[in-house]
Amino acid sequence: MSFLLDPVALVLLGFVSGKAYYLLSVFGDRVLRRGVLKKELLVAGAVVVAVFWIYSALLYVGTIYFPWPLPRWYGGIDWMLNSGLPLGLTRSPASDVLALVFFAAYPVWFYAGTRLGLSGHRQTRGQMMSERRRIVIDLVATTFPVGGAIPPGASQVDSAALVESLFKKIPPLFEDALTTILFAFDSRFLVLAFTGRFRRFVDLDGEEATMLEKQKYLEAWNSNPYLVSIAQVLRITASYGYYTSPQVYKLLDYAGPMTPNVPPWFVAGPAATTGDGSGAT
Amino acid sequence: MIVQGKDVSRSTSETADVCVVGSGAGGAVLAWELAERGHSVVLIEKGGYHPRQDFDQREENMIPMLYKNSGLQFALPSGIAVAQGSCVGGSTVVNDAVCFRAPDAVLGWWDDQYKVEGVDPASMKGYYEKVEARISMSQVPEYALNKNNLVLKRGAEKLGWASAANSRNCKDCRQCGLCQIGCSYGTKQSMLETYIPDTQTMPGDPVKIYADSATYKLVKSGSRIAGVKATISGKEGRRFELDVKAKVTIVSGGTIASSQLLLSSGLDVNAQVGKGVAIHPSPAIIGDFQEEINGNQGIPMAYHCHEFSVLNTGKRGYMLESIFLAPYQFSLPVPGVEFEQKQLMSRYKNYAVIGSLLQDESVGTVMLGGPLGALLDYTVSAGDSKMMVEGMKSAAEVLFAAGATRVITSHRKTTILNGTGDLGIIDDRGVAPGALSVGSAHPQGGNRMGGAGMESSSVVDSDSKVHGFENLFVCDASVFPTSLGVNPQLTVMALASRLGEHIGEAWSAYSK
Repeated sequence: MSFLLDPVALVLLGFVSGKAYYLLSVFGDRVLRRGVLKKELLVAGAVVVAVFWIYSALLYVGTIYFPWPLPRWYGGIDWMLNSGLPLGLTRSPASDVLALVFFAAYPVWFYAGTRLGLSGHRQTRGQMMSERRRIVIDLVATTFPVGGAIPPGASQVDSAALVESLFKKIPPLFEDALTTILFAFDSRFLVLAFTGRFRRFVDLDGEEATMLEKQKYLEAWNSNPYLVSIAQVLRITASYGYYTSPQVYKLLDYAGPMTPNVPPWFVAGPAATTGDGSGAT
Repeated sequence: MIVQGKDVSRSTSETADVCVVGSGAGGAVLAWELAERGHSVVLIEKGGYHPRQDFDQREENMIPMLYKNSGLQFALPSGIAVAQGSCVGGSTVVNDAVCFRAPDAVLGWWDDQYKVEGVDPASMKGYYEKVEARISMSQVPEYALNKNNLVLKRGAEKLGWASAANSRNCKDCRQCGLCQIGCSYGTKQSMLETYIPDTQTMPGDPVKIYADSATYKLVKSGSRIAGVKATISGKEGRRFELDVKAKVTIVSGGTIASSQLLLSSGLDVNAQVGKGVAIHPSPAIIGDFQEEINGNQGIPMAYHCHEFSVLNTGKRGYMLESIFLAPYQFSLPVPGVEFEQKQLMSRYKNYAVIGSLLQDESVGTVMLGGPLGALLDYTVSAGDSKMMVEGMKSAAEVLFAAGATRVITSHRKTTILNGTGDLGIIDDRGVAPGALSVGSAHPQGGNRMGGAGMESSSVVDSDSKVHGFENLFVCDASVFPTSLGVNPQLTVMALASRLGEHIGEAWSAYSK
């Protein structure tokens, strides 16, 4: 820790905390109740800043040494002021005043990092749901594109709306887990790992009319042994929206619901013989 | 009386002779058996109460409504989908109504290896007969076999393999083909149509059912269980507490949930709770025919081939069962992505499907954790992998013998066989985790039975009583010491009937 490095470290830690908050906030609404998680973020910030304050203050007053770069141990004052660089700064009344100003700014650095981590992300339930809808629309459209042996694409049979309706029918915690998977699937970092492009899934293919990049990314998930189970969940979700569509039923010659009517293929016969469950004829 | 969450607006408490957790094949039969013997029963069910009038034959509505975790339950890391019902009536509401007694050989293993007493075929016969009569079990007649079932029959007969029509608990079946999403005609004699309504017409209303109520704790008091605590999902999404005090407590939540409840209550008996889970992993093999099969039109699972099953060989093996599903569920094991999958699904009406039910080794473990409270750790063993490959090859042989032009396996990498000469491809593809889409509907084990001398490797004794507790029982498929090898509902019901009789006879000992 030093006056040069502390602001960078605090911004980075704030950034990571902001990202973690974003991911967990999917659950935050229900599990921790709205706002509580934000308080926890504040507590995390207070702890981080307090650690930095105490450690850096002890360095600055020369009580402890800084153990880096090993094997050399820097004197605390020297390290705080010069950060291992040949700046030649020494402690003075002026540096004490400056140190106080620096210390006072620590919470600001952390907060700035947090805001950076949260920027561009949905921070309210409404924003999150809107983002999820966007991901679902692109996921189903990619999984079931227009054309082929069953001509309508998912976008033409309103599969995304059916998937959205699924979210209302499943247990809340399960909805949150599924939402988290969708957000992870949409993550720039995972897209980068599989396609080499630092873009969200929904932003792949840009203005292009094709879905080649999205398809390539989806196929990468399906063929990855570590992600295949999660890919399966995504496929099940997309299939729910496509193969329960009345238009697709029709194209498959599937009758759909008949109740309360008896199915047209019902074969009436004589009374059944009794069996004993032994499996023998 | 059936109390539904929507009717509850405050926390409540109950006192009864018996508290049963879970209303499936075990719990419903037990509730009725004990009420018949004059005991008051509180039956707690996590899922909702949905009479058949609620069943609209739509997958998109019924699966979230009737299945545990909306049908999205997986064993990890194998990724095997494990289907269980979650509603009043449990899995009997969503199963294919197939009834088998436990194979004699399996009951023999339970006796030999686990010293379980009183489960030999002769001792179990009366219990089987009793439940078979109540659920109107009968063998599917020839006229009711649709083309999908006849494919299996034709293929097996051509190969000279042992096969037969299934016995089912169905009365005046309408052959709609939608058993897996609730029988809207009420002809499937599930718990929802038999034991549950029976408990509601008894004089004195001795059975009170709480639906939408998740039991989370067994309250321990020395070597006794004083009662249970549950959370009711009540009016306007609010949660209320349900406290039940009972002289006897029976856990019948099914494999996974029963172990989860014991573990979360701190009752890891002999460190065996959750251990030894089998699931009957069952890959689907699809035969493509020139003629239209229309497998969705008729009873989905009405025929089986037991040539390689414990029923025929007396050894662990696999059974081939006809199966068919509505489009969404059908699509799940169909391989390929995007256009390729659409191409394969477009032949829906020309397909016949065989499931190869593997009698697996009991290698799974239920553990606490994850967002839903419990995880099932299950990896197909090396021996089972080999047997699963053999099962898929046998299914493919049957389909080709019956005239299939090609066979599609459920490998995630699209695998199409054009004749028996291609069977080796299944060996090449293998069944490694992630390579194959596999379903399971029969989780079992986790709280296995063990007789005298087997206490350290079991959770319950031969009477289903939990070791070390005077008044706590487990009765569902979780008590099976080994994989059953056939559809389990009938055996769960028979064991429940047996336990009901036993508790009734020894009531004074357990209720003191």
